[in-house]
Amino acid sequence: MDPAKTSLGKMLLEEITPVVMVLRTPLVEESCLKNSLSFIEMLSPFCDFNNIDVPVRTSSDQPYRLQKFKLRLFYESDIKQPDIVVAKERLKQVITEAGEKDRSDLSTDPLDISNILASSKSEISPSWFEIFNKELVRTVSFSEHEAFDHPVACVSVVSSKDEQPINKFVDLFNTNKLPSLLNDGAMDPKILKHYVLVHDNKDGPSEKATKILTEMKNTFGFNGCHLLCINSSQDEQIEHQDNPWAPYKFDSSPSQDLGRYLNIDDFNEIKDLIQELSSKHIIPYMEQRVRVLNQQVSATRKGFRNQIKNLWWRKGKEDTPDSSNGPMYTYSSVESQIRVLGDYAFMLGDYELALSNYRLISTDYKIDKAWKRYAGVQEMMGLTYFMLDQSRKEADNCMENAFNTYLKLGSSGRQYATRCGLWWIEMLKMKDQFKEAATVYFRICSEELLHSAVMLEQASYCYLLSQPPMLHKYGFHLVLSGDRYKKCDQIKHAIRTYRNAVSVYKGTPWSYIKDHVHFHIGQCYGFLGMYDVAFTHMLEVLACSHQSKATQELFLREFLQIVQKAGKTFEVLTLQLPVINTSSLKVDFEDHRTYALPGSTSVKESVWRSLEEDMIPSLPTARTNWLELQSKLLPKHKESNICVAGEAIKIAIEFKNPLEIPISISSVSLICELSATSDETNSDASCSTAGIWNNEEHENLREIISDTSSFSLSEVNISLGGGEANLVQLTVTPKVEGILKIVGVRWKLSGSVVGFYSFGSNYVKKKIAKGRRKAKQSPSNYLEFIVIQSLPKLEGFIHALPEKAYAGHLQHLVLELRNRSEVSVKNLKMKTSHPRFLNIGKQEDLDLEFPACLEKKTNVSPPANPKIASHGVFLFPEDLSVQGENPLLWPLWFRAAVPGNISLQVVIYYEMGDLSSAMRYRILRMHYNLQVLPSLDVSFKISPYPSRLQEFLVHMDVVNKTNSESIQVNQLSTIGSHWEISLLQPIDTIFPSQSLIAGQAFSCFFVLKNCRKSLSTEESTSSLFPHIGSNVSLVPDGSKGAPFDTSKSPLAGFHDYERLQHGISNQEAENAVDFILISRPLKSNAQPGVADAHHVFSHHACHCSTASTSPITWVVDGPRTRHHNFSSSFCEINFRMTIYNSSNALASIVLKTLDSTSISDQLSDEASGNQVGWHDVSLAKDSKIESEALRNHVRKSLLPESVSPFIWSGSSSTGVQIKPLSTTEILLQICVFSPGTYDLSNYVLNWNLQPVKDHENVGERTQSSGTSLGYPYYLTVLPSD
Amino acid sequence: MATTACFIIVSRNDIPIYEAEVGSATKREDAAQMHQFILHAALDIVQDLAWTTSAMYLKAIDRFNDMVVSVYVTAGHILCICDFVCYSIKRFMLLHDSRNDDGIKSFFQEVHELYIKVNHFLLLLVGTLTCNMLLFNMDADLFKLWIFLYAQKLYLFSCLCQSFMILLNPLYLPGSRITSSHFDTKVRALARKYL
Repeated sequence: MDPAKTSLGKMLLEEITPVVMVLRTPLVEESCLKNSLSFIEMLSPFCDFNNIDVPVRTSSDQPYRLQKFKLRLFYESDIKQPDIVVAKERLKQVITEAGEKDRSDLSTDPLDISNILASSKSEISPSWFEIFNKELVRTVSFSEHEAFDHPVACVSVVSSKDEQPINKFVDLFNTNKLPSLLNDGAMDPKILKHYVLVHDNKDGPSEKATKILTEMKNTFGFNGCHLLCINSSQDEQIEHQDNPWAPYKFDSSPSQDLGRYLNIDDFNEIKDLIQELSSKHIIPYMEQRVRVLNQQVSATRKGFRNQIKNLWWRKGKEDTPDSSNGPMYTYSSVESQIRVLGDYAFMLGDYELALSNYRLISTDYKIDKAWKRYAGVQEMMGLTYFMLDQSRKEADNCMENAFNTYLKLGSSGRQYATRCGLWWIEMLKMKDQFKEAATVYFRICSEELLHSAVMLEQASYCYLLSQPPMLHKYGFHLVLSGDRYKKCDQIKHAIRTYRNAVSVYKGTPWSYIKDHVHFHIGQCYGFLGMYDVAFTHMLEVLACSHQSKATQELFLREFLQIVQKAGKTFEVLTLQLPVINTSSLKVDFEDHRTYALPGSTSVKESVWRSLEEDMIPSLPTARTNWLELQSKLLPKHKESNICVAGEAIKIAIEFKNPLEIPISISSVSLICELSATSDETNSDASCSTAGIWNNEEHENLREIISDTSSFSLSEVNISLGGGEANLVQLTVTPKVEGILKIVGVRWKLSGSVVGFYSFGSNYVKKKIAKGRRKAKQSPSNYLEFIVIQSLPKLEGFIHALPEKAYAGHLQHLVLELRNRSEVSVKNLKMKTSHPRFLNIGKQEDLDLEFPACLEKKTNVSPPANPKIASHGVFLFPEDLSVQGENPLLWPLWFRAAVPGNISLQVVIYYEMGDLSSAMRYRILRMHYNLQVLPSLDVSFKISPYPSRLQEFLVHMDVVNKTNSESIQVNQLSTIGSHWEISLLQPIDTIFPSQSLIAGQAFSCFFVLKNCRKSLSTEESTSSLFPHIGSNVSLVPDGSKGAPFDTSKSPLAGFHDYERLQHGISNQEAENAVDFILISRPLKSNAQPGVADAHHVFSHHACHCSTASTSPITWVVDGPRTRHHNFSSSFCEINFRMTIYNSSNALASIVLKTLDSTSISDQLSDEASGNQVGWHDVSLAKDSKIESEALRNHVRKSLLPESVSPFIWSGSSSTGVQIKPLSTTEILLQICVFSPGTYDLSNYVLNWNLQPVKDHENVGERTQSSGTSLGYPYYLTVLPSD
Repeated sequence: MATTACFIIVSRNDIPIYEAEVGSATKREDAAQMHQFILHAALDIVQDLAWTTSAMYLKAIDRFNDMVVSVYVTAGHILCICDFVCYSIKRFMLLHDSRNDDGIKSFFQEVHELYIKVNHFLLLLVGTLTCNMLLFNMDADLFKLWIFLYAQKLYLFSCLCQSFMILLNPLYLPGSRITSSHFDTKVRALARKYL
């Protein structure tokens, strides 16, 4: 490839060309300005020759033809180093203009990265870079160390209107106006001069001008003078097609005005002038200079001798102070001449010559440490190598060398380094070394932000163009550049770069990068007022939980600002704030199962099911009613959930704030779709497509949201603190029948951004993923409901159910049932999970005053049997129906039966009054949690009363286990009419304080008497009054009124359940007794000692066994003391023994009297037996050991050590038969022979039970026979005088 | 001297699976994003270099101002013959401003060890067992015996590994983010030691 054809070559051929200095008078400029052009601008279009075709002969004898040639014209005032500030302004202007011109639609989505890669090179980088680079290069022109910017010729221009034009020409050369380069000796002041007289044809004919021209020719010589006539067009303005001046005019004046008075003659005249100037004067002059200089240089420097001399000479100069620019070289010095020679040769296209001279001078400068000049020469060497198209490596080395040397100079060399870098980059680009070019761009970056922004952007394009494309670097440099543009307020450039970066970083998992790019581009769009685009970018950074708190705040603030500025509410399908936890989605709805309290749904369905089991109609009947009805109605949706119009469906879903800063969310509501049954297929279709097309889905959602006539939604406002998660309860209430679909949820962030979340889209995806597996119930069904027509619904509530109670706490409650619809419900049934705790009362109990109702009334009416069906289901009266505003109140009795945490469920079944409704029955489920604390711990111990028939001693132990309560024990009752209970001692003596403080224990003894005569006689009454028993009051008589009636409904009812709990049938067990202890907590604060009238505790102890091991009890009845005159005869004493058979079997008893041994023996025997008090005398269960011991005992007593003081008279063995539960009497007689005290215990009762067939199953008593020893019975016989 | 260092483990598809600022310099607000940018940009160079050299430790492959990127490329192309689990290439990238080459190299090696011991032990075990069963078509008895022997051999190794086991969740899937705090503390400790 011809280097001259490359862009760098073209650039060099334009930029490194001879400079012509133009001196002109003001009148010249005035004439030209009629055409809106300055003089130079007028000439410029003709200075560029593409085919000048001039023969050139430089150092060699062989001439060559120069084709491309260009002159650069400058006014004398412009030939100086441009001011840095001005240059910067100029550059900034270029950039800003480029930004303004860059009208490519900023709002469009960034291109996909593959598209960018596919596009051609020229499309990738914006075209204004070239202009910018050119301007940047120009900022460092006219340096004294480079000769190619030094004017080669000087053109002085004077107008024919000027007075004394000849003098003017001379004046123009007044040295103090000339540029410093000429004056301070950096260049040769003797340059080629040319004189031009400008005549404005508008000012009159040109005769005067020709006269002046001849004068000039006489003065300045024939060759150097010219006459230029302009503005020949007399009246009409000339429209230039394809105006040649337009590209040279940077201001935006209308191009029609340019050159409007210049006709074709002027045009040609100017052209001829420049052509002549170039080919006849400048090029020959330069040729000559080159030849002359070459000769001089050859003479002084070429050849071995000269080189040695030069080296030696330079060595000697080493002592010179090392200034930054090295020594000053004047135009006459050899070094300057060599440089001029090189530059001229370069400009004339003789690159070989130029290179050899540059090489020569470069070593000199290096030795002289003239670094700037050295770098300049190195730079030119590099370019020359490039133009020669040989040794690329050398070219690279030279450029790098130059670049580094410039950089070493510090700030003064910075701009030169930039220029050098740009040329180097162009060179690298030519060789497709884009990666290296990019690094050079990066090195060019200075502190100045705007420059480096442009450079970095160019670098990024280099990375993109490199093979293979380095996209990461591309993105990074785009971001770096964009950041700098933004800091310089070049927003449009910033957007362009960031937009390209977005295409690189699309969907990157590098979170910080993503945030940075989107945040900044969003901000930029915000500055430009393109809020919609800004908004979409800002959305991306919202979920920035990885960022620091300050950054999160910044992001959110910016986001909200943009939203605020946009002044409208945005609707976003993918709002990431807050995060919605889909797995937390929970749906509560009511079909035939309705719930009284929100907590009710937390109970497992199986628990409810088991409760309802007995109440709901069996399946076949149900199917014939509503299920079938529905299956006819909606054949496709058999698996769908059913809900009732007018009843709310509750959705709980968790919102989580991922940020550390609080956010506020308002108007959270569901998105639902209620379609009539007929267009069900349509909605189905739309639903399936919705998951695929995002936009379509959005539209769908909008549509759905707008249509809210057929259901009502709840709105919730929440505010989430940093990192907080909140479960939000939402409801939707359908109003008409149809199919309700819960599509998603919507919310408003900070009052202005509406976010949507579609439950369905996820589900649809899942469904697709699952493919053919055919899930039994797809999750979308889960959110789909069949709405059936409005039905009556019972609302239930139990008033005043305590959450915390002491064990035994007894309370009267009221269940309130309400049916708000007009249709009545009927056939109510009710069941509780814990009948021990909750008992259903009778309707008349409703108004009872508690606890007064517990007290015994005088008129005892037999209680009506409550309608308790099997399995504890309570049936409300059949005529009862609940409707309208009148609530149904029903009494309930509550008793905290056992301590612990109790989950109490109540189920109420009801049927619709209107048989045509889609559901025949519904169920109301109520759930309560209550905590029961321990209160009194009561235990009973019963033992037979010794020596009393049918009487027992009851030992009651009561411990107050509460933490702080004092409890007054009120009353102890027995259940059953045949029991009578009484205190053993007056209550005052054993229990003076009458109340138990926390932790206190107390024991008390009672006498219990079984007053039942026989089974047959009492049977009728006992079944009628199963709970009638006797009471004993434990408080002093005066303090309280009537005793509590344990035979009436609440206490009796609970007692039944207690018994059931213990597995005892309601039937009486003959030897067991049930106790109810009634107590009251003391009012702890106000009056100590006064019981709380409204709290009653009842404690039930069931089935306390009264029975001993022996079914046989007996009592010996007779005199205790007897006076007898033993002198007359022995004393005969009669006794009566009453034997009672407490078993249900016929007992045969044999009484054996034994003649006793000594008294002492008997007594010791007693003592060893440890038989003190009222304990059970008939001993252990093991009859075998018992009988063994007995035999010993008997044998011992039989030992005839002494004569017995008394003997049993009559037969030694008497046998009787006793019927079950009956008594018999045996008469006994003893004979006493001397006075004394006798123990009449030496008898044995052998009993044998004959089981009765029909009572076999009742008793637990397995012992069918046994032996009982006699009781001690002390008889004192006194001698009577 | 305060040092800046940012350590990132990058998995396939250039996904960062672990990031840590391990430098002792006080953290600047935008440091994290800057470091990400630099490291992300360096991936281009890594891609070029990784296939041209067999060395795992590529020192100072890229620089930005005074920050240097060093990379440790795990031996992704070394495949164990009896291993089904194809190791994915992981790149451990460190952005640093220190010149302590040996330290950086040791740091990389230790972290790699830490990572690979935990991450691949289970995979190796499972992979080997399955592979053997399929390849050699062992009958059940032989297989049991083999497992027994192999397990004994592995026992020592597993004892060694046990301390590392806690560092990572054994159910960690290659390519997903490393969230284990133990791993984090361990890496930071190594950074303090070597950098």
